[in-house]
Amino acid sequence: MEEKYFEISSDNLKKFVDRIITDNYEVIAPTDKDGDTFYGKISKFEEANLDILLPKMSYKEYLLPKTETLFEYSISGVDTEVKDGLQGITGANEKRVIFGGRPCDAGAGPIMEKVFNWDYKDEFFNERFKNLTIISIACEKPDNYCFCTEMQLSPESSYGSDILLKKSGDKYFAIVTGEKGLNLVKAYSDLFAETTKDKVPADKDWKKIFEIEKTKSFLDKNFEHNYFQERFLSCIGCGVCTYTCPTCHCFDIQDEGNLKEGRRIRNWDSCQFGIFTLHTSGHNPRVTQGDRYRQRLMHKFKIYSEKFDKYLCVGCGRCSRNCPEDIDIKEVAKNLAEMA
Amino acid sequence: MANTKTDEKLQKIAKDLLESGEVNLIIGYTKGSNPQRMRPVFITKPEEAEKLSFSHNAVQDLAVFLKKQEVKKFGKIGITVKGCDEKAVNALIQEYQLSRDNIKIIGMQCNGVIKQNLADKGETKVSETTVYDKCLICQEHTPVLYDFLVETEEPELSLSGNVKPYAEIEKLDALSTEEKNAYWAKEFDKCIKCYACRQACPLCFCSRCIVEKNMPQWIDTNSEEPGNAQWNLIRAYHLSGRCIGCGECERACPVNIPLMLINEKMARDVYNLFGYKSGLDINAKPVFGVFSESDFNDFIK
Repeated sequence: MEEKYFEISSDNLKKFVDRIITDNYEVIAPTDKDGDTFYGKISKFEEANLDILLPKMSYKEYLLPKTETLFEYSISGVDTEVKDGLQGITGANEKRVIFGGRPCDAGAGPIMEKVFNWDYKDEFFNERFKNLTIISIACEKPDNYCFCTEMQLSPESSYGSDILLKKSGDKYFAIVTGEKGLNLVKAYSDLFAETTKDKVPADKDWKKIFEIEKTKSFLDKNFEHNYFQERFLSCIGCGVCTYTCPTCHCFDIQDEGNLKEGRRIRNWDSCQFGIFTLHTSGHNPRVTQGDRYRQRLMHKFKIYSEKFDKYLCVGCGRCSRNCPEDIDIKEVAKNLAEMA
Repeated sequence: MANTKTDEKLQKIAKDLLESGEVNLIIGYTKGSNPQRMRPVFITKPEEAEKLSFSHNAVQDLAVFLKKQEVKKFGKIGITVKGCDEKAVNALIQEYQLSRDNIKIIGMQCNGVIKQNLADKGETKVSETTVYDKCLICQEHTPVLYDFLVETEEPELSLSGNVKPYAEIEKLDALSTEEKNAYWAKEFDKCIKCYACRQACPLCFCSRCIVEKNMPQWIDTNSEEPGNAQWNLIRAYHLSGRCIGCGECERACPVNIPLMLINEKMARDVYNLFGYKSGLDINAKPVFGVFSESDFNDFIK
């Protein structure tokens, strides 16, 4: 579908959100709790915080829950019953909307979709992703940790959003990218007014401070470079970068249960953990934290792009903002580009 | 930015230590990714000592690096520590993780560090409403043990008494068991099992953590009930009588679980029951590492 363009006033946007909630949509938006802002279910428009740049965590958990049951079993006498986790899948509801996220977060969905449909089709991810409607708001003031522009997106990118809202005075322009977004706009057509592309303010000329292709070309040739061991001596392997990342998607499959009942689950995992690559023999191919942080850089800026033609990073900067030891991935990627 | 007197003195000490060969590595702070942030830095050459700096944004507990294999390889190490962090060095010595002979302690006088989330929003003033709760109850503005001391230029933290540190503890103590359970169930529900609390802790030094042992699987791996509560409780128990209150677990937690309420409550209980505070004396035996006939035994019924 070609992009379509609408206008909606700020008042009507509020009405829109309140009305979809009344019509039983589950609306997930940046909302204040525990002294910060996180994505969470809201029960009215006022609960959304649209002033902040980004919530502390991404909304990855709404596509890939931190723990997911793949199947359950129960044994009674000689009878064994196995229940497919897909039957009890939660959050794959057609009436689920992420509202008020940013273009970087929206960009993560279609990037992750590639690996979840590469050889094995991951039905759990797909069920949630195809049903999720993403309404993002373009950024006006990215901060110093943001680098979406370097990551082939921009503060005004509509990639991955079903509807991208661009603020203009006391109204928003809605860029509708596909059927999912269009159906929603049509269902509340009294609040939206159709317009044309030329009325939508042009994107600003967002400047890049480094070229990610150069970062990649450094990584292509310098696996053994000292930089990794020296720079990441300060990494404590806490994994916060990977857990708060919208595109990091590694999981660990575990069985829990006993002779009578149990389940197979998958949990979030992280390449920053020493145990992540520990072999049964006791050998570990990634011995140091330098080896592990290098792996994160390689996966994001080299391996994934070679396999799927997209970098595994949207430049949201969460890993830098949340790093307890102040490792700034934008600065690192820039350093590497400069050394290429 | 020009060096402060503090920085100059710190840099001189570090340079001398490296030049004389007394240490092979200095772990310290340097300027971070924004003017309100500092970050750890590892200095091995005397001429690089000028990178060292210290301020009320030096939030990290650098003692965490003393447990890291890559850092241990350096042998003799000099470390820059605030009073709170220095207690972690002492606790590591008490628990035979570190030899006093292998560490040079550069003690930094400190009158409080600004909460990082406030500093990131532009807060630059040290006051009772901007520093961590640990700073409000701090008894070690001057570290208890040091080889070198760098005096602070910051004014003393003035306490009006209106800000009650760890105020939630009293509120929670007043609740029923069911209410306490409900409070913590809600907090632990947020846990995503990243174990950042463990990694950020200078005293969580087990080479294989109990959550990584699966024969048997002591702790459920899920990030739901009961896995989250199991993890958070075992973390708490393994640190009771040991936690020195640096608060790094809580600062690292990406989902804002108030871990310091647990740690501080345990520290108070241990003090009330055993008269022991962790990390104050390298010659003291760890409270749960010794048996004394005078230990209370009211719990035996």
